[in-house]
Amino acid sequence: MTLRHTTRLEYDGDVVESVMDARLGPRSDEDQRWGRFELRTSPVGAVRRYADAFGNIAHLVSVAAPHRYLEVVTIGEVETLLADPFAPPRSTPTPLEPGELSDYLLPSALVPHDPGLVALAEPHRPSAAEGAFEAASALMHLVYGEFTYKPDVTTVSTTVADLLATRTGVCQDLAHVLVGLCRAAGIPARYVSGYIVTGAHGPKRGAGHSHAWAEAWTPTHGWRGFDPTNDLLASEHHVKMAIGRDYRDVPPTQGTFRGAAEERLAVEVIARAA
Amino acid sequence: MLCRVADDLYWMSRYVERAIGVSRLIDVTRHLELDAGDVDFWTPLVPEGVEVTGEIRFWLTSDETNPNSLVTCVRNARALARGVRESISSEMWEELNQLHVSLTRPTSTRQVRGDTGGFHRLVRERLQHFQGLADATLAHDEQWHFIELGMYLERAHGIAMLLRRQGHLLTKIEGSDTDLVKWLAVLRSAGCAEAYARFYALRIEPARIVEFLLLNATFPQSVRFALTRASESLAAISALREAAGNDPGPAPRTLGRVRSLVEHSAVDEIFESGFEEFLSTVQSSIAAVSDEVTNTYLRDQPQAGRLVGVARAAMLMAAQQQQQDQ
Amino acid sequence: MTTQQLTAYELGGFWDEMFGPDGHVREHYAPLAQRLATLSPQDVARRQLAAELSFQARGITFAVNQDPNGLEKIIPFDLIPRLITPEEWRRIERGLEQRVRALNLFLHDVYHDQKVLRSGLIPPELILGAKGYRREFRGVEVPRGVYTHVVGSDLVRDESGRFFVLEDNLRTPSGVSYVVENRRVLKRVWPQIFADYDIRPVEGYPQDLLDVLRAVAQPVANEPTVVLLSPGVYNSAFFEHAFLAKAMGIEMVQGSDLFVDDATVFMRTTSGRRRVDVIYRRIDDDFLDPLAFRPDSLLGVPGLLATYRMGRVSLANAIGTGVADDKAIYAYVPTIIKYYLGEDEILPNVKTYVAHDPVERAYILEHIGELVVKSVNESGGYGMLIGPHAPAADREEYRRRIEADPRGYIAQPTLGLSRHPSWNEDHLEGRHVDLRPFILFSGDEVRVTPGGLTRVALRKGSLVVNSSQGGGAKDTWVLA
Repeated sequence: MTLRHTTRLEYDGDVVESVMDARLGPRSDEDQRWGRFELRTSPVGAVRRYADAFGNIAHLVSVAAPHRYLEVVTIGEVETLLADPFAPPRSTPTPLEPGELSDYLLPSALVPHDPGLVALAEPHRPSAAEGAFEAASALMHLVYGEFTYKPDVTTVSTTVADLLATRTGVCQDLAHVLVGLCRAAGIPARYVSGYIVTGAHGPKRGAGHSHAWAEAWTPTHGWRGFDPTNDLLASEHHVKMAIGRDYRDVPPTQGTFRGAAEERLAVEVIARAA
Repeated sequence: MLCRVADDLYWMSRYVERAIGVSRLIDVTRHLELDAGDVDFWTPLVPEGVEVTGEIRFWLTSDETNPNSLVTCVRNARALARGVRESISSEMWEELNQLHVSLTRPTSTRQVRGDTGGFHRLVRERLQHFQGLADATLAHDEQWHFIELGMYLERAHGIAMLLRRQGHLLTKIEGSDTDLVKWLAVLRSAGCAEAYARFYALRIEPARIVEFLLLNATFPQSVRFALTRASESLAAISALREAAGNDPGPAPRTLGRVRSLVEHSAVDEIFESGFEEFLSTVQSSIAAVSDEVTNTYLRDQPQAGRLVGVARAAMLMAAQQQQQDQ
Repeated sequence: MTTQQLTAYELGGFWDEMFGPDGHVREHYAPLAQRLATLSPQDVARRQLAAELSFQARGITFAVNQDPNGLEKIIPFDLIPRLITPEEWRRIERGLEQRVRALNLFLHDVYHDQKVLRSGLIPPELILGAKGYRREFRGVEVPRGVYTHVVGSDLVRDESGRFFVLEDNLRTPSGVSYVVENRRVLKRVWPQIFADYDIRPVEGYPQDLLDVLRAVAQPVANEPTVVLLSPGVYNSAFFEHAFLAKAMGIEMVQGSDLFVDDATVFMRTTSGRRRVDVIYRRIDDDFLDPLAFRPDSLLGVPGLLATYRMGRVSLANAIGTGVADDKAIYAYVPTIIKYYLGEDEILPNVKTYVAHDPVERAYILEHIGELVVKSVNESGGYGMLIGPHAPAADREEYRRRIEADPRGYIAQPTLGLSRHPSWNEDHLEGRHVDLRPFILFSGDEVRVTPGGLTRVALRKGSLVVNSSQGGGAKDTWVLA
């Protein structure tokens, strides 16, 4: 499929020295393979590609001269490979390293330890390693059932504790709650920033813009995506941009500029089956 | 050199020169008062719209609410010097630091109260010593040029202001002793009574005084001299920027214009076309030069002004809100 | 000063740097003692005053609290120098070199393969949960494998005179400017005493530091531009930043002087942008890059971490070195030396109980009245309980804190720090001292500046030498 992701920042005055750290992909792994990938900016800026601390491909974009807007467009072709997320992989997953366990089991900035998470997760704590995959699915159903998807009620600084109180949020928030529940149940879990791409009949939430869900590691299936916004396992309709402990590690774009101006943001994602 | 360092050196130098001007003004006004009796010489020294409670002399010397008081200027200069002490000589830093330390001692407040001029003279000498050290201990490279530029722009501006403030005296000179005293005082506050005497043998005439303070090419306390030196330093600074392939900005042209205006004016013409307007043009041109120097050399890019700080773009929570389906 | 005044000096049961246990002057201090004997207390006091005035005039300051007049504090200076014999120094040098090499290997491992986590020697959660561990920094190749270009380790002696390492400072250690300035001031106010000794110079430090900084420039830099990044004038070590920048002849910059464009760091200059290759940064990790660490930081440079990661700028010290000077990790430094170098430690650690370990925690809670308890995340003498001197309520408070956050605390036996004669109004009195040598590491060579900062607890009986807690400093002579 072909993906086109546009991020546009507008300023009401001249700004200089814009620096943007972008995690817009392409991330290739056993579930997806990127073909062509291009990142362009307008006005034309400097673009440098690098791998971040979580193995994501990132781009450092900069525009030093005075400008009034900054548009970053990624265009890529990706092939998704995971047709059946329920089927265990052919080879047994390699156990996680101590560093990975620490990353994905311990609390993180936006998913701190919370007694509310522990209480919710406890009944689902798997008693044996084989039960972890089922437990992660059950926790996903729980989030889908108990939380309401609602845009515009949360911000980037909304904490998991707030979410447990209000039980509403967008896909980032629901992903954070599921990540927290899995960790509380002893299942390593991480945050995925990506896209969901469906056909004309797909009612799925998250299409048309960037999406987020959780990945949980189980001894039977390795890393598998659990999308609590849509109550389904990530499959060939899900395209990953980047993974991290939580949103803080992988914001699709974050940046700074100098100048006394207000900033306005617009994002658009267009996905098309190839 | 770093924009921030240049900025701090430039303002350090301006504050030192401003402090010298203030101290001379106080010193001289005090003498004037002693010589000429009941006339209120102090009130004209307070800018319009400013309320001063207490004695104007203390307001000018040590009031912290007065951004241009002597003590405030020294403090500002020293604070700036501290921030760039790696860029000035130890001698300069120690001189300014010691002066600041001595001004913060309680004894210095007593000296101000009981002052008969000794205090101001001492402070002025130390500040001038500082300027001398800048000249003697620094390489005459870019940083020195910024110090020069600040000093001479401040001086030109200060003398123009002095002439405007005391302009009313010019119209009334009739050759009486009082007027002579007053005009000697004005010359003294510009630090040039003796030099004037050498030049004109103490013929106190408005035209001669204006000519001397405004148009004299060789006396360091004249506007023309100061503008000449300032534009020489700015030329050196802008040449470096051009050599690096960058635009030198409008400041050299603006300074060149005002310098040429002063160089090519005769005192009679100035009086004819309007003394006040002439001074006002000089002052506003200097202010424009200072702004343009700031934008081009002290900020590199004006939008990168360090006072604005880094306006942080929000962490972009990749927008669930914008919709555009397949 | 009369011999009688010297003999009235009390040893107090501690190791004294100048006097042996029998009260006799140690051999290497003999010429100094003779000098002291020829001086009147007034003479010493006069020189003491001259030294203080000299520090004030030259603005050799640190700021703990801002004075209303905008004046900064000076560090109290004690006139009597501290002497170290060549034999003692050789051992210190070798021990510190060993430590620095091992800790750099440890840091490389922690930020790359993490073999040590699988070794079972150190609990992984202790390393990865350390406040100074920077997950974002994993996988960055640092030039020449150097993480800690500048180290300041604190050494103490116990009652037997043996040197121990009390802690390593691997992030932004400060104090080296005082090492140089103390020497200059002492030479100025008391030149005579230098005549009797052959003292190794400390003035070479800035040049050595510059050599290290140039050595770690990324290969793209031909004639590397090195800058010192300071938080600004309100930082307590600002004097030192200015001192070092000036001595090295490099620019001292602040975050707002720098910006990133095309993965290159530039400084804003009056003639346009200029590329920066090496940043000797004296600001904490948290403030380095608002895009990577604290988003509210105004002191840092957006995009710096990504640029560093791409190998297009060098930082000294590297990011995340705090994991190795964490007070709980400190307890494992002998293990680290053994694991990475296969050697036994030359300079021993002070016995340390890590509250994270249940057995050691139980010991700490039981013996809290005999121990010094330290918060692992604080320094400068803050967050510390000196058990034997603390009121019962404070001990209870620390018990609660330890139980609530075991990872956050360690404990050590109370050390009888060695003492050194110090000038006290009109006579000499013993005061506790430590020693902070400065170690430079370029990847090949470890260089320990022959000297160091001897910090003195100027309050009688006090064991806290930190300048933030009323500590002073002495000139420190390594004898040739």
